[in-house]
Amino acid sequence: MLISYNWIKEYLPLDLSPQKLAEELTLMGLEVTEVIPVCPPISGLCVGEVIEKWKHPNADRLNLTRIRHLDKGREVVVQVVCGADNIAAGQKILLATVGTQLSPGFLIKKAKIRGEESCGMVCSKEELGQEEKSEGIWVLPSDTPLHTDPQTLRGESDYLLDFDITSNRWDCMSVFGMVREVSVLLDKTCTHEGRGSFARWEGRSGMILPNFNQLPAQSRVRIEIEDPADCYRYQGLDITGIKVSDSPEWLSGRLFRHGIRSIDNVVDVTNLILREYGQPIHAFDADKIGKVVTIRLAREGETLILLDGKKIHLTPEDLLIADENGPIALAGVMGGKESGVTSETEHVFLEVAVFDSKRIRQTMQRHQLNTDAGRYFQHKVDPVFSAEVIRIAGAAIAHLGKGNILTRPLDVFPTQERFASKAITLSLDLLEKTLGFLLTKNEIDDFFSRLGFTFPCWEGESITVNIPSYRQDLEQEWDLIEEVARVYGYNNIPITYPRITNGFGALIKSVDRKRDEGQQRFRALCLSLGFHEILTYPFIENNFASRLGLEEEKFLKPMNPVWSDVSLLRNSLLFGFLKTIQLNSERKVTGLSRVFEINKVFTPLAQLEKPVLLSLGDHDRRDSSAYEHNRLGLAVWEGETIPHWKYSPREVDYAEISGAIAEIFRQFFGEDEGVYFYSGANSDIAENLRNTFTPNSMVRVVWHDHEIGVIGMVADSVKDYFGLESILVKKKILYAELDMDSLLSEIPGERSFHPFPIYPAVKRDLAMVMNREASIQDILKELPRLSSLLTQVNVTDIYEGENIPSGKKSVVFNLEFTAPDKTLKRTDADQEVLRLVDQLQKKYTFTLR
Amino acid sequence: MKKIIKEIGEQLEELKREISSIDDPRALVEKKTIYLGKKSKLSFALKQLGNLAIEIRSEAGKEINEFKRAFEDIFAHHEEKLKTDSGIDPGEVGLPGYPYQVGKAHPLYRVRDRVLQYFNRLGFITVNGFEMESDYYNFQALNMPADHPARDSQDSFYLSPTWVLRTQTSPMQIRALEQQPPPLAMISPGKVFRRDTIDATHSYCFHQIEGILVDEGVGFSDLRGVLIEFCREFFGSGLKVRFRPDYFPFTEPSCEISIEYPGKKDGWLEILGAGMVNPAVLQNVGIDYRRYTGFAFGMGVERIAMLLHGINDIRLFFENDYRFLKQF
Repeated sequence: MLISYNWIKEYLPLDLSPQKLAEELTLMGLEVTEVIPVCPPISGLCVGEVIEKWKHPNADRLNLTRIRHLDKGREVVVQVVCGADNIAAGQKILLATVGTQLSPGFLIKKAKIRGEESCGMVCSKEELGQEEKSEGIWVLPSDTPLHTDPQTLRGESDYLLDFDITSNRWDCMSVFGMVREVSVLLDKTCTHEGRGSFARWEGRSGMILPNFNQLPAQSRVRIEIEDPADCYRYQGLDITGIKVSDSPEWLSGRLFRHGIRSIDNVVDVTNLILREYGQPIHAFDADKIGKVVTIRLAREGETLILLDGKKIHLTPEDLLIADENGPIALAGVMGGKESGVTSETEHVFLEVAVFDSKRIRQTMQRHQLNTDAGRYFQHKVDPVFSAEVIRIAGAAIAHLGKGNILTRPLDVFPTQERFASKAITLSLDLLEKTLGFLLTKNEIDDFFSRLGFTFPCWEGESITVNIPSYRQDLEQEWDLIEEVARVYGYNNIPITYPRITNGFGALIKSVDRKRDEGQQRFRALCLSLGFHEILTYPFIENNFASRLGLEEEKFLKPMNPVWSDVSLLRNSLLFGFLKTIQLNSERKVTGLSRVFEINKVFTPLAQLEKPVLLSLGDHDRRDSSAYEHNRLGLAVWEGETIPHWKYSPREVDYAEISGAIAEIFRQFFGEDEGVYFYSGANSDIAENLRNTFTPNSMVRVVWHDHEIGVIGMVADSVKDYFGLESILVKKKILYAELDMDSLLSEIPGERSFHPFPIYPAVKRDLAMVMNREASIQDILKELPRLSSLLTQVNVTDIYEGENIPSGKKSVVFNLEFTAPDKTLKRTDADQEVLRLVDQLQKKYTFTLR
Repeated sequence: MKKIIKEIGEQLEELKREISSIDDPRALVEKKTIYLGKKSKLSFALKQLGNLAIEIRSEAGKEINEFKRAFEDIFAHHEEKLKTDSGIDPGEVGLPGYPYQVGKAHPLYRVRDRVLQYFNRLGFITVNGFEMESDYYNFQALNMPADHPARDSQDSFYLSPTWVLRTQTSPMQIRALEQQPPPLAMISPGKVFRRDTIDATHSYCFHQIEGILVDEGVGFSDLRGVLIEFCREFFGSGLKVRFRPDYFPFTEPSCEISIEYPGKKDGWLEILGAGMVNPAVLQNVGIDYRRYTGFAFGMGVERIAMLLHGINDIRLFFENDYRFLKQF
């Protein structure tokens, strides 16, 4: 919100520079984001006289002029090219001479335009930042002396303070509201009487504020408020015999500087009053409204054509101003076209009302309207001060339109009692505890009086004060603490350090903490294996889901997504991985071929047994763990490698990722990690990824007999979705996803030490020929169970082909035997091998080789 | 000529004596230049051969070439010896080794972890939260009833009329206080969501870190102490830190904390939002606010990371371009 520094000064004498004022107000909680100079003096600008004008010989639209002006007191004449039609010999104009910095980045230079020299520029008001759009150059009164300071012609220079006001301080969203804060800051009293824009009216043109008490009541119209909860106060004033015309220049200029276009003398007053006092007001054409003005909710089927010509269909939640013939305005948001003021209007019915902020906010959202009035009413407007506003606004409209106020306003104020006065009691004890230091009673008295809190009353260690009606944000005892603190100055509050001990978090469920620690450890393990960590967006593209053959019901979806085509919350981390691969491939980034991410995926609400969540009361204390799950995703692919003179990277294949997973498990759960891999999968993770992988490539990761994840090779049809085809179709992408929640459901305890044998080991190879489909993993799993002497077993060779019958494979196991208490003899080892073979043959079919 | 040949013979004897003491491949190369290089006696002698009378030319040539072979043998032999002795091929010494790669933690998470560690050391315990929150935790318990204006500005993703993607990590204040009545010192990181489109400075999801301390006798002055030290730890000791009033429904008084920052127009850059826990919030979780007070604070992780590393586009965090990831 922009507020003029000069405008504030019309209320209070200010010694502070605009920058200093901005800083001080920021420290008081009214943040100024920028101080913008308005109409700053422009060095090099001077009054000039056009002594000659002729057509540019080489351009139809341009003129050549000779202009006389003063340069350091001496008269000089320069030639200037000018494009404006309204330039003529004999005119006084404003000339930007060579070297003038007209605006940042716009320096006037000596130039040749179509072959003719031009030493300066004749300015329009637009070019000087004084008008939104100019039709031609600015022609000055012909008696303007050449030595006139251009600044006196251009109007005062000023600064606009751009405020970012927090939603609780709506009372500062106007010039006068800000003036009240400045008066707290400066410890000065201030009043609106005879100050501000009003003073300009009074001073320059003799405007007189009406004394309503001396005027008769009007009987033309009756006002009815259906529900005081929607409309706190409604005042209406008749202004008769006005002439709608242009506003005086000072008024349109003031509005222009605040970014508002001048319309006519009635609308401009309503806009000015809104900026000055923060009270939206509306002017009806009194001849176009009926005899009963009702503030009521709309009825089903009612419509209204708004001032901007848009027709809206009202709902029974919309608050209206209506007469006996139907709606005449959308309360607090926008007037109706029918009842609006036009150039023919003679009598005005001026509305100054205060509506419920929630109603207005909802109506604006419902009809996608965003008006100045609505924005103010979304916050709370002070109904008490609105009595002053109607006096000033009424007088201003009557004055500018040369009309009359013959009756006093109608005033329905059903909530008067509520806003009459509010007292809050603050205990010194709470103040001291909250701020961490003690203030004296005198200091507090002083702060409260600066803040305009009246009737202070100490009772023991508590003080009770009356809160002014414009401070509706202050409701509780603790709200006064912030007031004390900000007047005292946050930066003046002492610095201390609290004492914190470990017990401060002891009751937070240790299970949760261990799980978090476990997750961090998984992350560290992935990193140490050379996987780079990525972070991806949680929403995925709807088209990607359909490419995978997944209906949207399989996804959690917000009711109000930002983009309709990226509206699904992921049920797997895959999408982000493929995006990452796509981006790096497209950009030909080298060196990335292994990544991981631990993050959340979501289950749709409907997928859970009962839609209990949709029928929650106003209070739910359960957590959402049922709907969000932590997953670990890992991918390896044939990325662009960094070429090396000696090293060639190994081929990317399944063993790369299964090996990584096995190592992570060994590190996390210990040597006996209990993880196995089998073809085929059917967990939830697998269901969501089924169409991602090439047929038959899906592998399930089983841990303690529980399917906790999958590995697979990404299918070409999926790569194709990302346009990876050209780059990557021949390159493998392997992806694995594991369910972290299941993995971390049991956190391994402390490891116990297993004494290792001190006697030398004996190694034996065992070559077996078995069916090609037979599981080697099963034998690997079985062997240690069968022999207590077996301390290590590795698969060293798998062979199919010559010398091996077709449909069979030869597998070589390397076995290592050690006895805990003696050196094994060769014969002991041989015997153990025979025993193992014997045992294995009971369960598996194979021959020795 | 005879003289030169004699001198070359002496050089050869000299080299035989010295060679075993040369153990640096570079020194060996130098020696080689001395005895066999362009300016060596041997090269000189070879060039001179053409000037000799035919009758003595062939014999001298034979002699010189024998010396040359002897030199070369000695050098070749010793080069081989040095190689097998050290096990390192001198030619490989300056070449790039095998391309090892340590996995890089994501820069955003590195910064998050550093912040968490800082507060952990002070005694704040890390607690993780949920990305889906009920309306109660995300708004109501934080003193934002249904018609609260602050709800508009947050513009949340609603999953159902009563569930949202959390718009802030502040719900963890409530969840922690429910589990642990005061004294409590907790820090909670996590992802939050706002209905924003994505550009260089906005994202519909980003990360926050929330902290809260509630105990008897915790005042605004303690908030100042803890958070000034935090700013100085991360952005420079002795740094000026500024507090100004702000508004959050769940703290009262509330403040915005800025550090001095020459790059900004007014010289200050906002780092944290904070405040004293609003007694209304304490009441919501059944805590006696006349006995216990506390402060809470929150910060945007992306913002801190961008500032620490001079990153100018928030999208870089979610794009995973390796040229970005590998820098940190």
